[in-house]
Formats: sequence, C-alpha cells, structure tokens
Amino acid sequence: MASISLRHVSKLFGSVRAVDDALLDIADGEIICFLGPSGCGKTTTLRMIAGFDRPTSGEILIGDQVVSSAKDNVPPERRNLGMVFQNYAVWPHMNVFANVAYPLKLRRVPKRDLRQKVQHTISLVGLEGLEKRYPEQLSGGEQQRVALARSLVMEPVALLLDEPLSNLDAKLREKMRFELMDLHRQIGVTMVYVTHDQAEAMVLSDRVVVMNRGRVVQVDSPTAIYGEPRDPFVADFIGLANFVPVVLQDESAGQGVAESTGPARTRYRCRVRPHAGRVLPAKGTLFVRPEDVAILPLEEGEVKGTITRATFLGTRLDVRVDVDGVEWRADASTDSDLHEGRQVGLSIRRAIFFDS
Amino acid sequence: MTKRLAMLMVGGLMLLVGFGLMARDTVLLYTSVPIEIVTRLQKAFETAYPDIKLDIYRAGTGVIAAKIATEREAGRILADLVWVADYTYLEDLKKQDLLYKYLPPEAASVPAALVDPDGYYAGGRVFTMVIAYNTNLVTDPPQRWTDLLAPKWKGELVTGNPEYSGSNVVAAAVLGMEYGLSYFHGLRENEMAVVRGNSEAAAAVIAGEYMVGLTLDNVVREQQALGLPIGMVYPEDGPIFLLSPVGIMSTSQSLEAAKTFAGYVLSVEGQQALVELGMYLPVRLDVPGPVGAPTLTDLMASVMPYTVREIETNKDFFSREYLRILIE
Amino acid sequence: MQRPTPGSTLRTGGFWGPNVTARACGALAIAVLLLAVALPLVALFYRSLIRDGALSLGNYIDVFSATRNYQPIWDTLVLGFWSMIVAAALGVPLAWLVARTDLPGRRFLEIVCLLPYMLPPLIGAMAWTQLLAPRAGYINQLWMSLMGTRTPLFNIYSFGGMVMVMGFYTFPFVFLAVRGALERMNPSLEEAARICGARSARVARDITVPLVIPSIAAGMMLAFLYTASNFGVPALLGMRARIYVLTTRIYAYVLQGDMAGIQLATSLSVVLLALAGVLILGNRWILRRQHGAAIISGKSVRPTRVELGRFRYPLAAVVHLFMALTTMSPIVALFITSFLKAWGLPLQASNLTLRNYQYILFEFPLTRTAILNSLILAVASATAAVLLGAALAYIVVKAKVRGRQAVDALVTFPNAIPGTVLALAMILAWSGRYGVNLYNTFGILIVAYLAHYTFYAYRNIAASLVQVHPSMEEAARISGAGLFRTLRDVVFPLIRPGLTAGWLLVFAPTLRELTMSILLYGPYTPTIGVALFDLQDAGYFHIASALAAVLVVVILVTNMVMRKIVGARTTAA
Repeated sequence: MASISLRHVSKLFGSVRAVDDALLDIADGEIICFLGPSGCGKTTTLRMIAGFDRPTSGEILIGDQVVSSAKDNVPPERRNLGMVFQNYAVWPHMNVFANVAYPLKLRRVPKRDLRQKVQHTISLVGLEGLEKRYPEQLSGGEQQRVALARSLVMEPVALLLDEPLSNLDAKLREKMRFELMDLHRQIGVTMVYVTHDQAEAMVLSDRVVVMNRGRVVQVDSPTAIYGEPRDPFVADFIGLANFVPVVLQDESAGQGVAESTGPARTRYRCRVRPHAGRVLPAKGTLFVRPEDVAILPLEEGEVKGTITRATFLGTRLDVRVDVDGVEWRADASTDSDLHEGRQVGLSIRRAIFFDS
Repeated sequence: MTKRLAMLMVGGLMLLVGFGLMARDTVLLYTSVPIEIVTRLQKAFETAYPDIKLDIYRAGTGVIAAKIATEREAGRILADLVWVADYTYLEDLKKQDLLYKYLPPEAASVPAALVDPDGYYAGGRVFTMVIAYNTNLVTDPPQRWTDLLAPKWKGELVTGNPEYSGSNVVAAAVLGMEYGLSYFHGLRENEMAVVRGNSEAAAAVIAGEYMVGLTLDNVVREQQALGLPIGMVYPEDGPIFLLSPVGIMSTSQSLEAAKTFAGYVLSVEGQQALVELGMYLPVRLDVPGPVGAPTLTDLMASVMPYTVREIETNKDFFSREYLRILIE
Repeated sequence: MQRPTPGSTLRTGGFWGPNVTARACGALAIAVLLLAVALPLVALFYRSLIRDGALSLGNYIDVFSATRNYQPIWDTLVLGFWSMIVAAALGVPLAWLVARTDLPGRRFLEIVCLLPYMLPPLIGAMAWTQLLAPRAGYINQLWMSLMGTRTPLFNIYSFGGMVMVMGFYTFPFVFLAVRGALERMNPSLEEAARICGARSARVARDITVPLVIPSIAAGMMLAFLYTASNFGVPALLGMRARIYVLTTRIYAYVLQGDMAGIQLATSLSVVLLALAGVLILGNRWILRRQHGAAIISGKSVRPTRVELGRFRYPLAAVVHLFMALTTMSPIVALFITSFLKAWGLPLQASNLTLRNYQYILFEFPLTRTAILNSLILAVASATAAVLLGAALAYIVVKAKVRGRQAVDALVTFPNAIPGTVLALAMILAWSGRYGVNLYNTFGILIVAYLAHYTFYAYRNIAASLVQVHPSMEEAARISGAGLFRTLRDVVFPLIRPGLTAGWLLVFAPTLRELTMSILLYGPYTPTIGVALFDLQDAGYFHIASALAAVLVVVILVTNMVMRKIVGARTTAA
C-alpha cells in the first residue's frame, strides 16, 4: 500500500489543457474522490496515475517512486494498481474465476495460493457460487463485483475506480457505495475514485478533489467542501445554492457586511475570505445554502420577502421567496403553512461572500 | 484459434520448403500440346528414360511466348524446350538467338520437308486444320473452305482465336493468302463465332452449339474414338498443314536431357506414342498412322502449298486482320 | 517497490509507443504493405512510361491511337454500370426483406444470398453457359425441344449474358452493405418520424432511404469495381459475343508474346487503374457528403420489422424461387455436367459417369498438383493476410499512429485494382529487376494474393477491434499484462470471430483465384483456377465441371467447419 503524489502534473491534448498543474498528495489508505463535471480532467488524471496517459509535464509518484514524468513512464502493468472501469471491462471470453485469477496468473502465483486467493476475493465481494459463470450470465451489479474482485485480488498498492457505479440503477448504486466503504474498512487500500456524482463523493471519501476545466479547485473533506466552498464553482456544483449579487461594504476578521444590488439595498452579514487587493466597496456574490435560510413570520426575519412558490418534496418543502427582486430558495419543514403570495421574514444562518 | 492458425502456417511453410527440395535436376518443357496428351507422353518418356525428369508447363502459344518474354526480361529463361503449334514462333526465337542449333540423329528418318533447312528443329507433330461438323445435325458438310460462305451456314460456324492458339495464326495466314481479306469478311457475314482454342471449337460442334467448325484433324479423331457425334472433311481446296517441332532453348542448363527429349519425339517409339495418345499423323513414314487417316505422303500432296517463309512474313498481318474483321 | 531499471523502463512512454518489439512488428507490417502494394504499383507506372530505355509517352500514344482500345474502355464502363444496376436492383430489396420484414425463411435467404460471394465468377460463368449456351445449354435445349426450333431462348454469350452473370455475382456486395445499415439503424430515428405523423411509406422516403443511400452507393461501387476488374466472365462469355473489356484487352496484349505487348498491356493497365482510382475517389466524396453514416453506425439494435400481412407467403414464394433459380440452378447445372461423359450429350443414364471425378482426383497430375498448390497457397495467403491485416488494423484502430489514413488507403486500394493490373505490377516488381526474383514461384502468387486480399482480413478485423472497448485492454494492462500478453489473452480471443471471418474471406477467393494466377503461375505452380481455365479452354467442360464441383464442396465445407470452430462463446463487448 502506498501514498500517491501528483507534482505539478499537466496534460495537453493538442492545445487543450486537459489537466493543468495538478498538485496533490494522497495518503496511504485514504479514499479520495475526483469530482467534477464531464470534461474537467478527472478521468485523465486517473489514467495518468494508472499509466495509460503520460503527463506532458510534472511527475506522479507512487510511494516514493516516480512512475510518470515527461521523460519516463512506468507502463501500467508494472504499477501494481487495481482499477475498476466504468463499463467494468469484464472479459466476456473468461468466466468469473478466470477473470479474477488473471492478475495472479500473470504474477505466476502457485496454483494452490491462486485458488485460495481468488476464492477469498470472490467471497469478499459476495460472488460465491458464481465462479463458473460467464459475464453474459451476470447482472450489471455482479459484473461490477467481478471487476472489483479482479482489481483487488493481487493486493494492489492502490485501487483506482473510474465512475464504477454510474451504470448501475439508483438502489444498487447506493448499496454498492456502502459495500465499497466496508471493503475499504476491511482491507484499507488507498482508493482513488472518479465520479461526477456528488452524493457518491460525499458518502465515500475522506477527501474530495473538485476539478474544473483541468484545474484542481479545492481539496477538502466532504463537510468542508459542502460548507466552506472555496469559490462559486464549487458552491454551485455541490448541493443547492442561492447566489445573490451584492456589494461588500465592510469587512473585518473574516466577517463582513454586504448590500444587495436591488432597490431595497438589503444588508447581510457574511463570512469573507481574506483577499489581497480587494478594495471596498467590492462587487461580488453572496452564497447561501437553502437549508441556511430560515423562514419566519414576517416581523421576525432580518429580511422580508414574498413567497412565489412552495413545492412539496416529500420530507421537505422547497420554497421560493422573492427578496428584493432576487428569487431565493429555502428549505422548510412540511408542517409550516407556507403558500404562494404570503409575506415572510427570512433569517440567514450562514452566508459567504465571493469576489466577482 | 491462434494456435490453430500458427499450426496451419507452419504446415504451409513446411510444404513450401518440401517443394523446394523436390526440384531436382530436370528438363522443363513449355508446350501447347493438349494437357492430357502431353502428360501421358511425359509418362512414356520417363519410363523410357528413368534418369530424366520431364516437367511440363502447358499453355496456349500466346501465353508461352509472353511467359518466355517475361522470363527473358527477368534475366532467366526457365524453359529448356519449346513445343508449340505455331512453328513460326520458333523462327522468332531463332532470330533472337534463343534457339539452340541441334538436329537429333532421328531427324534423318523424317521427310526433308519437315526439317528446318537451317538445322534448328525438325517436325515433332503434324496436323491439319480441317472442317469439322456435327454428324447429328449435318448430312451434307461443306467440302471446300469457300463453301463456308454459303448462307445456309449463317450462325452455325465456329473457329479458334489466333490470339490464343498458334495453329489458328497459321490458318489465318494461309486462308488470307489464298482467298484474300474478302474471305474473312464473308466469314464475318456468316457470323462465324470465335472461341479460344481448337478443342473448344470441337466441343462446341459436338454439343451442337454450332454445326460446323474449324479444328484440327487429330482432335476430331480423338472425339470420334469416344463415340461423339463429330465428323470431318479434308477440304478439296487443301487442308491447312501445320508442323509442330520441338525446339531447344539456347539458354538451357540441361542441354543433354533436352536433346534426349527432342530425339525421343522423333523416334519410332515417340511417334507411336503420339499416334496412340493424340491420334496425330506420324512424321516418320515407318510408323503407321491412326486408322482411317491419310498417309503423310498423300496429305503433303493435297495441302495448301505455302512455305514457312511465306507464312512467317504474312502471319502478323493476316491474324491481325482476321481478329479485326471477325471480332471487333 | 523498486524503481524500474533504465533498460526495462520504457523510453517514450504511453500505451503503444514505448514497446520496441511492438514498434518493430508495426514497422514490419507497414514494410510488407509497402513492398507488396506500393512498390509494384510504382514500378508499373514507371514502366508504362519507358520506351526503348527512355522516358516516353509512346506506350500511351500507341494505346490511345489504336481505336480498337476505345470500345473496350467504353464496354468496361457500360458493363460495370449495368452490373451495378442489376446488383442494386437485386441487393436492395433483398436486404430490406431480410433485415426489415417478417418474410418466412429470412435466415435461409441470407445464406443463399452469400453463395455467389463464396464461389468464383468463372465457375458461375461456366455454370451459366451450361444452362444458357445457345443450343447446348440445358435451358435452351429444353426450350428448343419444346418449341421445335433451333433458335435458343437466351444466348449467354452476349452483353446481356455478361451483365446478368456479373449482376448475380456482385449483388451480395449491395446486399451486405444495405442489410448492415438497415440493421444498425437506430429504430428510434424512424419511430420519431412516425410520431411526427409520417406514414410508413413516407418514413421510408424521408428517413430510411436517405440514411441507407451511402451504403447502397458503397455496395454499388464495389459491384462496379468488381465487374470492371473481373477477367474470368468476360473471357468466357465476351469473346464469342465479340466483346472485349479492358481486362481481356490487356490479356490480349500480353498474349502478343513479346515485351512490346507487355508494355502496351502495362499502359492500358494504368488506364484501368486510373478508372478505378477515379471511382474510389468519387465514392469517398459521395460518402463524405452524407451525414447519415455517423448516425447509423454503432451497436446493432433490434430493428422494427414490417409485417407483410397477406403478401407474406406469396412474396416468400416468389423470392425463394428467384433465388433458387439464380444461385442454385447454376450449381446444379455444374454438378450435372460433372457427371456427363462429354459436354453436350443428352441427359441419359448411359451418358453418365463418375470417371471425371476419378480422373481429376486420382489420374490427372495437373489437377492433383493444382488442388494441392491452391490449398497451400490459400492457407498460406489467408494466414499471412490475417497476420498482416491484424497488425495493420491494430495500428489503424487502436494505436492511432499518425498517417493511419495512408495505411488504410494502401490496404483498401489494391482490392479495387483489377487483378490483371496487379499481376503485371507484380511481374515488373518481383521478377528480378529489383534484386528479388519471385517469378514462377509460390512467392509471387502469395505476394499478389496478399496485396489484393489482405483488405478482406483487415476490414473484418478492424470492425471487430472497433468493438473491443479500450478498457478491455486497459484492464489487462493494469492487471499486469504487457502489450503482447494483452493481445494474446484478451484482444485475440475477443476478435476471434473477426479473425476467422477474415481468414475465410481470404481463403475462399485465393483457393480459386484466376485473374492474377493466369499471369503469374509457373511450371511448378499451377493453381485450381488455372486448371479450370485450361480445362475449359481445351473444351473439357465435363472435367472442368467436376473440378469446379470439388472446389464448391471444399469452399462450403471449409466455411462450415471454420464457423463451427469459432463457436458461440465469444461476443465482443
């Protein structure tokens, strides 16, 4: 098992910067998720770690060994990594046992050890009894487990997963997430996981790497990514968010006061990240999660607004409130009597100011 | 699958190598003698001379000429012996210094008319171009070449193509010299069909596709022996005489074996074999000919009297015109 | 984990590039391609410009000043055109019936449609002459005896006869292309039009036909090129009809028997080559203007079938009868003739014999040698073509090296070059002038077959490779397999159907190849095609038929056996 480091890794396809100066240390035994919209460079990064693509510049280390650099590239087969592909890539001409045994066969593991290890791994992923089956006789979820077993059987230094759950239905996906976590708890292998599904990233990872247009935007724990997004992209990409155009009027010690650009010039207290070269008043955006907006009786709120729509979502109400010409989104409990046209007060528990 | 493929490939290669090893010292004959006849003659020859292996490449005269031209261009002529129906081709080879000057002792028993005055070759086979007809369909066959122009034969005539068949080159030259281009036009008028060789023409007559065809006397005799419905007429205005001598290539690497074969063809034994296998007229007077066939002496007296020289000078012109008029 | 030693570290990195052995194999494959295709064609072109040892246009001037060469050029175009039309007229409706309707016996039709594909046109022409030779063909005999006349029903020795035989032999090209397109077309495209309010005829006109046109065009183009480059049919049928096409004209020049003739043949070949080139470019241009191709390619889906309703059985009867007549009856005729004592004898028990078979299999040394030679040649060429085709397909499809379009073109083009031309090019390049003399050996035949037929293997393997998702290989690599191990354990098993199909598609035509062999065979290398031609040439139609019948059986059996071997267990993901 080993740590993985990316040192200023960039990858150009023609003139397109698929990955731009990625800098990252993945600790031994950590689960890390690359998260971002399609085309953000997360899969390319994973493929560079695997050795399928070579960085244009920068280095990748597994443990303390440089495996990829502009000059040298240890081919994938010598990296001792496990990888689960989006389409599983379970070989249709081999049965379950043969698929899983293949990496051990390549490593010339003696027959008895091989049998034992393969059996162990197959039971680890819960496929006992299906050893003789061919992939076409398996469900998607079972094929997924074969791919997983195959990537784990030779005890890789790290396990790479490229959107492994995206082809499964919602229920199975959720189940597999937890199974992956259990698996990690049992074997403790370093896992690098690529997904565009934020829920998956939130549930699974120790840390999330948010990428956008080839750049690593933020690396943090799921809680921090959700609660303390570094910039509007992260804030917007993860969860729901209200963005209100504002002008920052005052700041001190990470706190500030922002004024809306609407006719009412509503003022909000907010958190402000230090930013060199910011001159007050500074234009920007106020970021507020819907669940941080409390709907109160008209007179109790800091801010006043009119409900334009209230949608029943099962456990919650999704409420849209017009405040000073901007439509806010708030989360309310279903027992509140909120209906269209009612005037309410809003209390904002937490707001963050982003410079524009 | 890959293993199977590999095995097949290795097997193939081994066979190739095997073939290479089998090629021992041999003499190679390029000939237009029909394949059935020549392969049987080969057996007879190899029985008589067990230490010589005779290899055969059979094709029409045109293909053989093209093959030799290409081989010459490539730097090595494989053929040791050439034996085609168009003896003027040997004259071509002679001019290009490709023919080895040699007359086997047996040539002394062959009539002088069948021996090259320059001493390069002597006639191995003789045959004549005759008028053949389907005996089921025709009761009064044409008796003269000019009878073919009669309207009753319109659409019922077939012949071989000078491009493929050497004997038809000579036939075109002789008919052209005798009757002029108008004769060719007349044949065209009568829609004479042109197939490739004499055997195909005979087959077409037997099958009843055409009633009358130009073909070789020995071919007709062969088919008659099989009981097939074909008859022939030696035209009164003279059948066309063809000589098919064996020539030795000056480039041959196995001259002795080549000489042996050239001698064998002229020998009593060889001529008997040819009479028996191909129903040819023998070139020796001391060998009896096929049953019912004219003797060589009688035939020589009746054929159209053109010399090798005349035919050689005129063959290109007339075969080109023949093709132009009859085919294009 | 240790840092790999410099020796084992791959210098240039990446998935394909680094492996030195792999590069060497790729380079070897490309070198073979250049030697087998590019060099001979360049030699051909160069030699056509040489006259008496100097550069000159003399050969072309001679070729074009002979008016008798104009008619063959024109006839080649006209013959190609009509064959193409016949091929389309047969291939398109049949493809539709098989791919898109509930016509009974579709599977059977599919096999029958491919029969001509497997059999050489020369044999087809032979068989058709046995049916329709004026006065002697079985059908004509029947007609004549019924009508009491000596005027045959149809004369196969005619332009119409050539068109008919070529059309029957080329329609599978159209059939295969169109059927493929119809089956791959996403049914939602048509369903969308239905939802928009179009009735089925309208859907066909507005959606189906436009999307299938590129495939029809491609199939017709192949039919045209195949016809224009065929030698056997015009040689057998054309001469009695006094019709020359370019291939027979070129052969006639070769038969002139001297170097001058070969040079004229060379120049005329370049004309034929130019014709083929123009057509291929034209086809590419048409295809590029069609945007539909991209939409319909992809995974095969279950197409919606048209229900023929009450027309179902009558239509089936008509179609099956027609197919039986066009594809089966020539073969039946062939078998009948093969048991006759001589061609043209009436069909009576007393005229039947097994002697022809005994003769070609046990007595006649030429056919025995020819059968053995052809088997060796076909196995060797098919194997070599599959190896070469696989290497090239991998380079083009998977490795995506620069210049892969050039590789693709070099494999594809020779298939469209008339065999006669290719054979001449081979003679010029490989008869010692450039240091290697393969003339009169198996070598030159194999090189020629490779140049002409590798395309079949290449195309099939490439199609299989495209379907192997890159992750299949990547999964093996990350499991620890090197490039060759990956190829052996994962790629080859997955493309096995493509490899087998490719092997068969080269094996069948090389087993009976004639057009090139007739110019390239030597004293020790007669082939089945040549033996057939010779026997036919010598008027031994009955013996030729027996040999053809043996060949038909060998090809069909090989086909079945190979398909059995491939087995079921492989469906490339």
